[in-house]
Amino acid sequence: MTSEPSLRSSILEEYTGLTQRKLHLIISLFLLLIFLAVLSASIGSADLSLKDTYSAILERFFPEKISVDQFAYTVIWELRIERVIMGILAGSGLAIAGVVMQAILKNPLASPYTLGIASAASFGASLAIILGVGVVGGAHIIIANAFLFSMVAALLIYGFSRRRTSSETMILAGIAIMYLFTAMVASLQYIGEAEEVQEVVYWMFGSLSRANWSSHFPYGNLGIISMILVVTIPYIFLKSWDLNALGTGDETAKSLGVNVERIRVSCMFLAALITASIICFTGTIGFVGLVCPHITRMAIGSDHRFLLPGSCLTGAVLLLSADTLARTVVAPVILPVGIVTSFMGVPLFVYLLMRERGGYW
Amino acid sequence: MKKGWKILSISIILFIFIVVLLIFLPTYTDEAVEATDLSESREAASIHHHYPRTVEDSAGRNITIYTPVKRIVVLNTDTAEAVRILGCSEKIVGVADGIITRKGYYFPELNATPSVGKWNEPDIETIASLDPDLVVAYVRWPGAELDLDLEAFDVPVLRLDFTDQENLKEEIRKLGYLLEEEKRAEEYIEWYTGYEEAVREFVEKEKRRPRVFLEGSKGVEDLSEIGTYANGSASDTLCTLAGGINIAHNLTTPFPHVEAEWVLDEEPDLVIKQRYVRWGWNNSSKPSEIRDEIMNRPGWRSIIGEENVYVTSCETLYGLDSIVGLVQWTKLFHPEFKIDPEAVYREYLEMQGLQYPEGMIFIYPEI
Repeated sequence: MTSEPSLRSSILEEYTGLTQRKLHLIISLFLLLIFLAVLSASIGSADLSLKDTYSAILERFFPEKISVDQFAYTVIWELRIERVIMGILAGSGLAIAGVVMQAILKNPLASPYTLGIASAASFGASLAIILGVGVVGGAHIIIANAFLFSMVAALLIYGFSRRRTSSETMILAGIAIMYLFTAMVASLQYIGEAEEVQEVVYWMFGSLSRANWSSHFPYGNLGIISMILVVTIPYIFLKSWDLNALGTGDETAKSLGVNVERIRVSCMFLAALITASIICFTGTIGFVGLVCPHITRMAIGSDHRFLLPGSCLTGAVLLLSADTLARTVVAPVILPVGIVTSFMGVPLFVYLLMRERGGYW
Repeated sequence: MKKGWKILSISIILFIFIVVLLIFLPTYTDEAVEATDLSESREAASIHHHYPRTVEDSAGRNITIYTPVKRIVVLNTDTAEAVRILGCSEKIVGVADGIITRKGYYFPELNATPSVGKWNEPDIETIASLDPDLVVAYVRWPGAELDLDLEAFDVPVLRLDFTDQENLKEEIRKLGYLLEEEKRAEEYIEWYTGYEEAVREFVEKEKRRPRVFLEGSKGVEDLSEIGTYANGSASDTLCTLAGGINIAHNLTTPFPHVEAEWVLDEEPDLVIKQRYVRWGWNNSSKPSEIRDEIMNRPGWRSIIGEENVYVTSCETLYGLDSIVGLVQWTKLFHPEFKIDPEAVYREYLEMQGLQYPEGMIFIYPEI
C-alpha cells in the first residue's frame, strides 16, 4: 500500500514529466519552423548559392559589414522572405482560429470552412472578379470584398452566439451559411466568362504569392495580418484556462467562475477576425484551420495552454512546407498551396486518426 | 511547471517579436538601391536617342522605358503574337508555359525559350533571373502582385489585351512604339483597317441581315444548357460587324446558357458552333460529326436545314487575327462578299513568317 505523500509525489512527478514532454514537443516544432524558414528562403527558381542567400539575409541587419549582389538581395527580401513570413503568419493564424472555434463549439468539425466564413470570402472575391462590384474600387477590390463578406458571415455567427444558441445550432447555422454563399458563388460562376471563372477557382485554391510589405503604414498585407495577430493571439492565450474549462461543459465552466457567454462571443469574434484578415489576402486555405488543431491535439492533448501554441506552430510548419513544395516541385510552375497542403496533411491526419482510433477528442 | 510555462510564453512572445521585427525593419537599403537604379536609368536615357518612351497601357497606367528594349517576357499567346507581328520574336527571353505546351505548333521559334510558369501566376524569381527589360501581360491577369514584385527588380509590366477589336490597333501601336517598331505596327494597322473598311462598306450597302445562333465551345449533348454569346462578348460584336443579327444579343449576361427549345422557337437562319481545337481540323470527320450531333437534337432538323449549320475553329475569331474571322463570317452571312478569308489568313500568317497550314479546315462545311 502506497502512502499519501508518496502517491502525491509520484502524481506530481508524472504530471511534470508530461508537461515537459509537451514543452519539448513545442520547442522542437519551433526549431523545425526556424529550420524550414531558412530552408524555404534558400531554395527557389533563381539560381542563388547558399552563400549569397545567407549574405543577403544578413545584409539587412549588418549593411555596413556584409555586401551582396543586389539581385540576390531583392530575390531574398522582396520575394522569398515575404512568402515565408506569410506562410508563418497565415498558418499560425488559421490554426489558432480553428482551435478556438473547435473549443468554443465543442465540435471537432468546427473550422472557418464549416462556419461559412471561407465561403463568404469566396463570394466577396467572386463578386469583384466576375461583376466588378465592390465596396472599394481599384486594385484592392477583391481583398476588401473578401474581408467584408467574411466579416458578414462572422457577424451572423456572432449574432447566433449572442442569442445563447447551442453549439450544435451554431454549427448547423454555419453550414447553412456555407451552402448559401457556395450557391451564390456558383451562380456568379455560371454567368462569368471562362477566364473569370478560372480566376475565381484559382483564388479559392489559395496562394501566398500576394504577400507584401511596405515601409509605410499599414506596412502591406504582412503588416496588417501581424498587427491583428499581435493583438488577438495574446488575448486568446490568456484565455487558455477558460477554454479548458469550457471543454468540461458550460455548467462546470460557470461553476469554475468562467463567464461562458462572454468568452464564447469574444473568442469567436477574434477567431473570425483572424480568419477574415488572412483569407482576404491569401484566398481560402481551408485545410489548416480544420486539421492542424487535431494533429496537435493528438500529439500533445487538449490542454489549451499547450494546444494553442502547438497548433500555431503546426499550422505554420504545415503551410510553410506546403508552399515551399508548391513553388519548387515543378518550378517555374507554382502549384496552388491549398492543394499541396491537403496532399501533405491528409495522409498524416488519416494515419494519426487510425493510430488514435478517434479516442483523442 | 510554472517555470516551463514561463519559458513557453517567452518563446512565443519572442517568436511574434521576431516576425514583427522582420516586417518593420527600416528599408533604407531599398531606397538607396531605387535611387541608384533611377539615376542609372536617367543616365542611360541621355545616351539613347528618343528615350525615355512613355505609353499609357490598357490598365490606364503610364509605362516608361528608359533604354531600348532588348529582352521581353510574354505571358500569353496574344502578346507573343503581337511581338512577332512587330518582328521582335528574337527579343523574347521568357514565355508562359502554355505558349510552349499548348501552342507550340503556332510558336515554333519559342519552343526552346525558358518557361516562366503559368500565365496567371508566373514565377517571379524566374522572370527576374531572365533580366527582362519589359514584361507584357493581360490587363487583369496576373494580379497586381506581379507589378509590385517586379518593381523591386526595376522591370516594368506593360498590360495589353489584344482581344478587344476596338482597342487592338491602338495597343499594337503602343507596343510598336516601345519596341521601336512603329513602321511595322502601322503596316499591320493599315492591313487590318483595309479589310475592316471593306467589310463595313459592304455591310452598310447590304440590307439582308441573317438571324444567327452562336453556340459556345462545350459539348453538344446537354440540351438544357447550351452556351451562347450575348451583348458584351467578342462573338456578338463580330456577328454584328459581319452583318448578322445575333438572336441572343439581348440576353442578360455576355455568356448565357439557353435551352434548346428557345433556340428552335427563335428559328435562326444560321447556326455557328465554335470549337477550341488545335489550330483547325486535318480532315472533315470531326467537324462533320459535331454537325451531325447538332442536327440529331430533337426537332432541330425540322427547323434548321443541315446546310445552315456550320462548325468553326475559334483560332481566328479572337485576337490579332480576328479580322480573318470577320471576313469569314461576312462571307458566311453574305456569300456574294468577294474577299476570300483563306487569302486574308495567308497574308496574316505570312506577315509573321509562318506557313499557311495547307489542307487544314477552319470552318465546316467550306464557304
